[in-house]
Amino acid sequence: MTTAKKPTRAVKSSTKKKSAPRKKPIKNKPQFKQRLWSWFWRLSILFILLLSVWLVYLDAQVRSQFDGNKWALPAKVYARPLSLYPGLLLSAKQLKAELQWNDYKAVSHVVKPGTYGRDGNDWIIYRRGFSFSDRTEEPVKIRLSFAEGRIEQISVAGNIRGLERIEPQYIGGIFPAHNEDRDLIALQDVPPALVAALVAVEDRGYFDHYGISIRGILRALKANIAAGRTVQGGSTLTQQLVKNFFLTNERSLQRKIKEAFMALLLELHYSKEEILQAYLNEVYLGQSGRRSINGIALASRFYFAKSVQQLDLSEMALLVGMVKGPSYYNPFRHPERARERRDLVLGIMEELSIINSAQRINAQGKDIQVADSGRAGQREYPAFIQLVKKQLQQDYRLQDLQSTGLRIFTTLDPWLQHATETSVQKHISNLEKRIGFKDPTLEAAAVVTSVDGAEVRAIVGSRRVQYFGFNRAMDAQRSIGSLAKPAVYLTALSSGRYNWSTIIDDKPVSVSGQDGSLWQPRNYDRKNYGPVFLVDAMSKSLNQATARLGMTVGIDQVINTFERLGIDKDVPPYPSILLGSVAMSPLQVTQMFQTYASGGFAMEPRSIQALTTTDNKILTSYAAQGEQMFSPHLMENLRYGLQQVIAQGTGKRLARTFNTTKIAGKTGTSDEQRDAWFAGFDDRHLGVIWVGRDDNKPMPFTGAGGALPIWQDIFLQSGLEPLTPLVQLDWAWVNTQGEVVEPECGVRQMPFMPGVLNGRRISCDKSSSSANSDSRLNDQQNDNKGSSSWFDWLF
Amino acid sequence: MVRLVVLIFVVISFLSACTSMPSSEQYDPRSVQSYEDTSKNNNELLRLDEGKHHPAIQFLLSQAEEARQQGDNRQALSYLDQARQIQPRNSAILYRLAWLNYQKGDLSQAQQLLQRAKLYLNSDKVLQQRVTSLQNSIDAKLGF
Repeated sequence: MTTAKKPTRAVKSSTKKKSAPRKKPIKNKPQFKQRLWSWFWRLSILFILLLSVWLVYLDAQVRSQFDGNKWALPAKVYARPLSLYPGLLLSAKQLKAELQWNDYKAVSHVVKPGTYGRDGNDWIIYRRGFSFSDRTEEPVKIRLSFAEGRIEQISVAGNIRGLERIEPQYIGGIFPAHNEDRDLIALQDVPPALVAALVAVEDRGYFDHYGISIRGILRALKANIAAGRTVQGGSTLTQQLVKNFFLTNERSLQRKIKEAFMALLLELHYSKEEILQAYLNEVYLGQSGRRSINGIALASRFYFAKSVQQLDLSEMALLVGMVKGPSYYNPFRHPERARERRDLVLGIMEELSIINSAQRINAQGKDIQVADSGRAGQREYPAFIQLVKKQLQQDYRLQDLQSTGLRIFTTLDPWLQHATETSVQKHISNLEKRIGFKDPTLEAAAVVTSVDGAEVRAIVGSRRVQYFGFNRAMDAQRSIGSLAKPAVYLTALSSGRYNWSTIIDDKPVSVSGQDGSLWQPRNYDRKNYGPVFLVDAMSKSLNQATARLGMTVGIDQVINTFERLGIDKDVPPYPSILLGSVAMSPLQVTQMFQTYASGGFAMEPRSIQALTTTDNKILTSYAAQGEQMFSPHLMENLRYGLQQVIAQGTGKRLARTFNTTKIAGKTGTSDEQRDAWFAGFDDRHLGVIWVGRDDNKPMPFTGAGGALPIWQDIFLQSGLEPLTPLVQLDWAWVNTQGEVVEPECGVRQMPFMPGVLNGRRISCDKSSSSANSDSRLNDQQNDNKGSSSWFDWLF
Repeated sequence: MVRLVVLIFVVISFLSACTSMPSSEQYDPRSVQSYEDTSKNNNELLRLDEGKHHPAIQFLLSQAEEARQQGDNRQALSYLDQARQIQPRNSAILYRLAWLNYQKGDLSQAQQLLQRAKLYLNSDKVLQQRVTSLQNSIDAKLGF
């Protein structure tokens, strides 16, 4: 190169030195040629220089992205494991459903992990190996014997066990950008036939080229020219990987050149096996809602509910065939196309002696059998995942949740979630039919937690339970209506001046605001009930009596009770909050009722049990927390009132359905019936239901008619366990004046806080005229009457 | 005579089978109580798996004790919390949770859990004494 330049320079310098004119036509031709060469070489050097720089840049890009963690691995979220132990009440229906949701197959002979069967009254479950949050457990064949609906005995290989677990159901992920989901797999774990088929179909010369295949490009060119359109691609597996892993789907020459160079560089640095393994994990194989199905391992689980190792030839061929067009050959939507493609792949496999003729015929004879893509083990639980994400973001960065492959073990109970979803959907449709709405108009939200630990067992944020949209359970702020009333009565009971037998007045009330406006709440039925027992005012949800009571005990005191119940929001000091003008989300209402249900412990509903890394190190485990905010006796006393709602008040439908009054609950209906609520609990679970319209328009039903039936249906499906008392209260008979009397002349038996009765009661002959007796109770009532009179005088 | 012996043998076998066969109700986690070991120090828990418990709880307490002995208190708490979810009102489990939290210096959590243990305390005298003893220890550390 340098020798070519020197004469040119010599010519130039001589031209400058000698000024005499020369014979241009003679010398111009070679000079021009020389100049042309000179520029050619200069430009070539520049090009090579730039190309080298670019290649160095590409090389750095390839190596930096391909070394170490290649993918942003989404956090995998799991439900609670199904714990099996003697004495557990477990219906065959639930066990079967939970096994099937976890992709267990019913078989006659249980010999493989992931299968189950019946042996007379016994169940045999071959549990898969699984890394639980606390330890890794090997596959194990569990025998369960049942008696009277409960597990009687658990054994493994003839040894009696106290506890066994079924691995938890996968319920979703916290995905990176583009929502790519994948399960990583090592090349040695992929069946050789699948790898051979992939190479045979996608890139036969894979083991012979260096990233690009000239022969392949020419063959594709020939085929495309012959067909008059693009029918074949010339890309090698390496190029396909480069395109998917590093580049975009842009169709340009520039991208194609870049792809070719990157493929060469990839082959330069990495072995064929490493590249093939990356390909098997990268390849796009379909879409499930927002979730992109990537990699052979996840695709195998998604389409066939099997691990890659369990795939038969027909299924392997179908997966390999789908690489060409996952949407076009989608076996759910286009089974015929998928079958043709599978058969073609099987034909190629036979042609290349990967399988023999008999295997091909056998595989081609099989139907396209795919697992239901919407099944529990592959669908997502948007409302719950959103809650998990929100709670985790208090401790972790979103970026880490989206990329480091964390495993999140949660509290979700798939059985209860199923019951909640089906109940919400069924009743919302029924309500709309009853009202005459033709289009879906109503919306709903529901939260179910365990009463003792506040673990969120089920959550629904919309009637469209699989839709990742506005989560009404977490984010909708709606007036809670009469759900506020228990806080008013709790304030009264905790003041020590009231008992459930205290008589309060249900008559019209009028409160003037600072701006001169008048607040005049009326009862739902517009009636005035006059003097009523405190407990009846709550159980029948009387607005006037409650407003009077709340004004007497003091709005500030009621706000203080809201705070102690765990409500972390500013509640304005307006009288209307006494009847629930305050807006809360169903989750906040759950937190408030959780305190009643747990016996006075304020607990935030929690959705996460533990968080582990991909190699199963526990990062965090969460345990039940909760400060005792109210005494157990006070809570037991309040729970009596809440049980009266079911026994004789607005929730008495539940007493009829479940044939027990040992359920605590409260209906709620906001102004003009814009919101219908029901919150209630049994001995195990608390459920909060909201029904309303997104446009906040009124509805022709109340909490008892709109939300309570959903609660009822959930608890019918999951089973109801009647409440057991937290502590013992003192019980006594009272007369119509609320005085404690002998049983013979009493009209109602009511509970009292310890020490209140103090052994005093009025004999029957004195009861009607002895309201001013020296009993402490009557003193209290006089106090109350005094307060009431003062209040009446004031307003 | 032989028939009579066989009959007696069959009846005895049946009856003994009946007495040794655990009934599923017998293991109902809501009714099975835990009892502390009376032969041990009444005021101080030495091992998490002491005492007599429901089979599932016994298993989890053993796992928790194993983890504790390996110095993995977080893992031990995780096992205890699993036990709590099976028997949420078992004061022996709640006491152990409080005790372990106290051991690792989380007094506030220990206090909260002990309050719960007190709420569901049964007639087990040993457990009652241990709860009182732990409460005294917590109070002393909190400066009450």
